[in-house]
Amino acid sequence: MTSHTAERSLGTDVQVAKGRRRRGSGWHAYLFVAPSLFGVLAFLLLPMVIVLVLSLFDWELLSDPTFVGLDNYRRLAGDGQTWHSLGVTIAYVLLCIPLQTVLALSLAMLLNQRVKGVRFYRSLFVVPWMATPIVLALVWGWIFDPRDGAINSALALVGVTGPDWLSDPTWALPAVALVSVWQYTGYNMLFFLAGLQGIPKELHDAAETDGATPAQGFWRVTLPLLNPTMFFVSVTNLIGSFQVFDTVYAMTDGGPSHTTEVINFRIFQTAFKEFDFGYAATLSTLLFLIIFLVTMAQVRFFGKRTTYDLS
Amino acid sequence: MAKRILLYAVLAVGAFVSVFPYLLVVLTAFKTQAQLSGTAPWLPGLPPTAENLAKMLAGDFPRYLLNTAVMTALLTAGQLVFTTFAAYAFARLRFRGRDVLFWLFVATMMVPSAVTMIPLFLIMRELELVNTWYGLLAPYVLGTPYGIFLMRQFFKTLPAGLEEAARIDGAGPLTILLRVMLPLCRPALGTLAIITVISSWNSFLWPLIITSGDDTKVITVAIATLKQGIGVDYNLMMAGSLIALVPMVAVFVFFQKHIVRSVVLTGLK
Amino acid sequence: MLHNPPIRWALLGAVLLALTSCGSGSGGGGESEKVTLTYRLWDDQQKVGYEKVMAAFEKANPGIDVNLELLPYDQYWTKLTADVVAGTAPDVFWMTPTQFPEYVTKGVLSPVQVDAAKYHQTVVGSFTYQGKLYGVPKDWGIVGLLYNKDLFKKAGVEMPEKLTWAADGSGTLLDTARKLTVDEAGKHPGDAGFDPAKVKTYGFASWNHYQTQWMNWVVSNGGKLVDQPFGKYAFNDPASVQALQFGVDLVNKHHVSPPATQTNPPTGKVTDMFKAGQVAMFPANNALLPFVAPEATFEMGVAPMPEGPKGRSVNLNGLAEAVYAKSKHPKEAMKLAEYLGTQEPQKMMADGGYVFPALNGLSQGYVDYWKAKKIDVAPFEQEAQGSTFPLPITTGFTGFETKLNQIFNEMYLGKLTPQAAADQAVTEGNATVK
Repeated sequence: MTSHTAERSLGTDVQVAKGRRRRGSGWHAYLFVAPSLFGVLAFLLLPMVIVLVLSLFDWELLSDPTFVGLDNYRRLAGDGQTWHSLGVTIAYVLLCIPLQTVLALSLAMLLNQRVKGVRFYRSLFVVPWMATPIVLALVWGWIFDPRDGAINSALALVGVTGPDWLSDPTWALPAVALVSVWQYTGYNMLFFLAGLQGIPKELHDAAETDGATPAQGFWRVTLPLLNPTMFFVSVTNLIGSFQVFDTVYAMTDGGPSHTTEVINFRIFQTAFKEFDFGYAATLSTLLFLIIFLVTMAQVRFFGKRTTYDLS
Repeated sequence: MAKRILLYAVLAVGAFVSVFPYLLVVLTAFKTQAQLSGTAPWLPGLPPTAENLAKMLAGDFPRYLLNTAVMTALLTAGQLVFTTFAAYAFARLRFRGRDVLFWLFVATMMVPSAVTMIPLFLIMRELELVNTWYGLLAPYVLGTPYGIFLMRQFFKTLPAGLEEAARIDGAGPLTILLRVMLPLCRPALGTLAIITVISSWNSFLWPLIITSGDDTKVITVAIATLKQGIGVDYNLMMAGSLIALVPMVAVFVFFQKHIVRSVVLTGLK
Repeated sequence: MLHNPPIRWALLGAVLLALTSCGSGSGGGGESEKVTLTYRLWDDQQKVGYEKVMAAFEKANPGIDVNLELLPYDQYWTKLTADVVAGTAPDVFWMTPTQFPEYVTKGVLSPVQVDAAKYHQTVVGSFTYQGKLYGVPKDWGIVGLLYNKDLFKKAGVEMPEKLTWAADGSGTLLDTARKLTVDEAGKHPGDAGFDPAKVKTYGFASWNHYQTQWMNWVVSNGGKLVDQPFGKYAFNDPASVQALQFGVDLVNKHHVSPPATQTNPPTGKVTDMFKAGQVAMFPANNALLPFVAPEATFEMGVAPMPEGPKGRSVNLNGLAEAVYAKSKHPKEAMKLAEYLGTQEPQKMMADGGYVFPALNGLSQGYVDYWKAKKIDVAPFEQEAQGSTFPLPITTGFTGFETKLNQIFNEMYLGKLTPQAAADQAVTEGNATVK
């Protein structure tokens, strides 16, 4: 994209050079990509394709697969539990992602100023991301304990009776989402920090001189220039959160009353507890399609708005 | 002035919220079992005891730490090298099927690993790599789609001017990448390195599935083993987690200067 | 640093060098005569005992080496499944009654040739399929009643000779539990002014844990879990529902048990509450002792589970040493499995205080071990000689388990009646039986 504009403005002299370049980049490119291509093809793409194909089979894992054509998909159409899981997953994504993104961006903007001890704060904010799911579940289980957990005890100090959190059908999913926000905000902040640092200060100064308020500066200068970072963060976060599993498995086991039964949890149960791998593959295919569409929508959305400053 | 105070207040609250749960980890690691039952989780056990840490370190845990460290180092090295090459190609070089291939790479992140690991495990069995270091490293050491995505986006934000200049001077893509682009990449590479280090260190599912012996066991699996079907030794588990956490925090604290763009560069006016 | 080309190439070289020089992890020497077997388990405390057992086996069988693999319990089955799919399963491994039907009906296990009469019959029954035994009985754990002697002393209550219960609320269990339940004002359930929301100590732990709780009530009341091994679920008949009601009443009607919001799995904290001295009586499997007894802050007693109107029947859960049907060394694997069922190793494990051995007559070592720790486990043994029942032996239980717990969580919360919960559970359960 950038190269196009650059070349067009350089004029026709470049055409000859361009031709040479294009032929030149060919084999170099394949060489550069080759090792990763091999790795991805053999170990990531091939298993994925196998899973998509297995959605047409009935496979109890411990015995051999049998071809059943579209039976699994017919079953999927009437499977209320799966559609419920999708609903739970979407609710989770909506609870998590906007909050996480806003917080991460805000923290990044705060730390992008001249702050004493920025290294210290940056480390602290990222530390949640370093925890393993087992530890998280244990620790947050204690924090959310209805009787003497930290949250309810703190609420009791101001006279509020806290809900039962992980045992409460209304609050279990928000609780799990909260843990995710806690875990990933600092991590996302890192990307936003890097993105913010890529915006030349001169642009902000110019906006100020032109009389823009800080808010206008943010919406008109900062945000558009953060588009590449936003794009990356948005795409990867959505891909990840649609597949949330570890926290749910460790903290709530899909309960109470299926209110935290996200789709990936259902997939795991189906594959390994119900020994129904063919159907799990079908569910995975459905999830894949959804994530793919959501990603392509973001490519559209961000693609239109990305500009690169070439001056 | 009030703005400053507000700023620091917000940061302080954020810092507290981020770290508070770890307080539980630290406190529990230094409690005896009796103290665990006797005191609230966020109150210390007095007197604190180092016996849990000692127990973990006296057993096989240091060996698993070493295994994990080796795995992490190799995966990070591989990621830095192969991902950079591939990402540059996807970002700046033109070749047939480039964008389709790129999104195919990204697409592999969209299927749950719980299911893909079965076919992957079968592939490893065919290659006779089950229960080996190769099997442990192979899917990720040649670069991951996530890393490639990250680096590609970063390369795209670099101005094309430098490459143009170098190309006109007759430099090939390899030279351009190594001499021109790489110096500008330090923040992105630093970020990629830190991310890869920490996610490799914490990886659980694949090491669990591909290996079962002690000589390739990693710390996440070792800590999980402390959770029996019927009961959990919380103290040991927290002690192990604390031991596993410390190197990660250290890595981040010491290497975060590499993820900050130095003010000096971008002399591209 | 990294933009320096020589260093990049060095790194690249190092990666390639490392990859080529890293040898394979498993010891699979094909040249030597020695056969290497893999043995898989999940208990890191028992592993210490097994290392000694395997050393003795290797000494007696110089041509065989045994590799122990320790895996986390939660993922043990996922990994085992993956290994079976790939054909790389361990030669001998631990098997539980609830997972057994799935694996045996798919031909993953080999039948073993041991004298079944020498082992505890409930364990033998848990691993029998179509008349053949498919695992060498290893051990058993049984549900008994752990209680806090200090709390009893404090309340001035004596543990009755025999604890009894009945669906109408009569019996010494409820009586004793009431005396031991105190709220913050010092009142007991049934006293005027008793506040169930402010209870300090509970007399009994009744919660949604099938193995140590409602399954025992059901069978002790004459109900049935499955109509027959490898059959269908049947716990929604009147006797079973009555028993379920009793368990729920202990929580919601009599208030002698903590509310379900604090005890429902997977976040339930009952074991912690017992350890913290907040619950006086706690039904538990003896395998839990290593997790609650050491460093207990109070004196712990053991009593047999209460007797219901139809007597007492408790859950006895035994493990078996299973042999992989597609093992590359079937003869040696069978040798190892059968050895593990003989007196020497079984006694070694019992004396170490880990488990009750499945081989009859060897439990003295276990009893002595715990006596030295001031815990009298004789009641567990007593119960094992009485009526015991295994966990439901039917395919699909592993998939059904989560659903079952979710339904019964609602029941303990009081949101579903026991009849409705049992009906729903039985219907959903039978849908999973293949």
